[in-house]
Amino acid sequence: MRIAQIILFALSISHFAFAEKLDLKSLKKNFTRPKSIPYLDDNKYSTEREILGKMLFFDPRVSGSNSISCATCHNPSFAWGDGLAKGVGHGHKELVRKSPTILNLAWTEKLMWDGRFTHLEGQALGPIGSEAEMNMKMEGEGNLSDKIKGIAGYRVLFEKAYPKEEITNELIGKAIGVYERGVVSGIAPFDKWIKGNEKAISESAKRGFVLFNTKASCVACHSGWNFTDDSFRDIGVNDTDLGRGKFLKMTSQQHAFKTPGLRSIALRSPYMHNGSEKTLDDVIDFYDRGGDVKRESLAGEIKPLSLTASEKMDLKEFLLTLTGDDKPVTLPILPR
Amino acid sequence: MKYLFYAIVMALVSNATAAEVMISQKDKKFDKAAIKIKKGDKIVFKNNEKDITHNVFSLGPKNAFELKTQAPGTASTVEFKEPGTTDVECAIHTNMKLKVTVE
Repeated sequence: MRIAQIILFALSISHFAFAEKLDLKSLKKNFTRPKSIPYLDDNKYSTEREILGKMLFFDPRVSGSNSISCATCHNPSFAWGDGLAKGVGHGHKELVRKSPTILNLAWTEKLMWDGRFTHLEGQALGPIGSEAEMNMKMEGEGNLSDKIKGIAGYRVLFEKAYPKEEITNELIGKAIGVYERGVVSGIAPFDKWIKGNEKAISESAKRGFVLFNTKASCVACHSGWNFTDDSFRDIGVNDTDLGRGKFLKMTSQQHAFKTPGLRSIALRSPYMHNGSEKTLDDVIDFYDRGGDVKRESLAGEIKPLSLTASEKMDLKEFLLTLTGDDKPVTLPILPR
Repeated sequence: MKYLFYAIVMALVSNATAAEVMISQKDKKFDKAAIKIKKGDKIVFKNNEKDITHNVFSLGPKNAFELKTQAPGTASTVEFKEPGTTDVECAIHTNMKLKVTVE
């Protein structure tokens, strides 16, 4: 009994010393939300552009079949994803990867799981023109811009948003980009804690935050207010998808995928680029065992963590505090 | 023989005047956004992170290079032989950008 007391005392001292060393106050500063949304210099925000972009985002006529909109895979009701392990594209065929959320992408330059598009304005046209995804013709007669120009209501909206500019595919991408930049996660209990409300999150979640930044090493990739450093790594998901390695031949980029932000992560299951982990518990277990495959490209940061059951619970409690008070999204009446 | 001697001397002089500049990688950033160097100068890319690996490479087409995965504490040297501007990035951390102008 006395030995147990001594051990407990020693543990409490080491925990205290560790907490002192961590400097929680300065650490919390790294997670402060930004004050404004960044827009491109050649595509500044205006209300007219946001209204137009929203209509295009929710309009299935930007697809070849007139039945798939951007919102089909990026559904606000599913935290701007689709809740599926893998997206569903043209002809109801399953795609090869999970549909990522579009939350907080205004702060991200390289987009898609493999980083093949730059900025939202450029990315928006990628899935629209992809045969597997929305299968819209992008060149020649009857292409995307012809189709949109053929809708009288859109001609009026474009003139208001981009006066005297010709309606092109590029301009359609710009309008969608303006709308998507405004898709920002709402204030979460975590944000309230960061601002000083100690009661905003539980003691378990606070311990989880410390673990996130120390023993569990999550912060090595999931850093900053949106919990991503926009990096591309092989985290050891066991499949044959090369990810960014298809475009960059270096070893570190084989099987490398974009580090997703963690805002509203509790609403975004299943997880990973292929939806292979069903729950947050599964994801924590995945990282705890150091991934599922050892290969040359595996990121150095991925290694067994030896987390205890209570530490895993604390980590999960922390992740649950990242869900914001996002307001329901109203659907636009589309122009005819 | 005399010309060979001169050539060796010139090569040594030229090598002696080539500068070596350090670029640090810390907190997932290069310590400079842009740098100007002379043709033949070298840049030492040092990973000064505590526990984060990097993979620095140039987007080319001039002065193309790739440093492989760089563990914390390690450094690699690259000689810039061609004049012009080269964008250098980290393949892992895509927000790390450095513009190298070789004069």
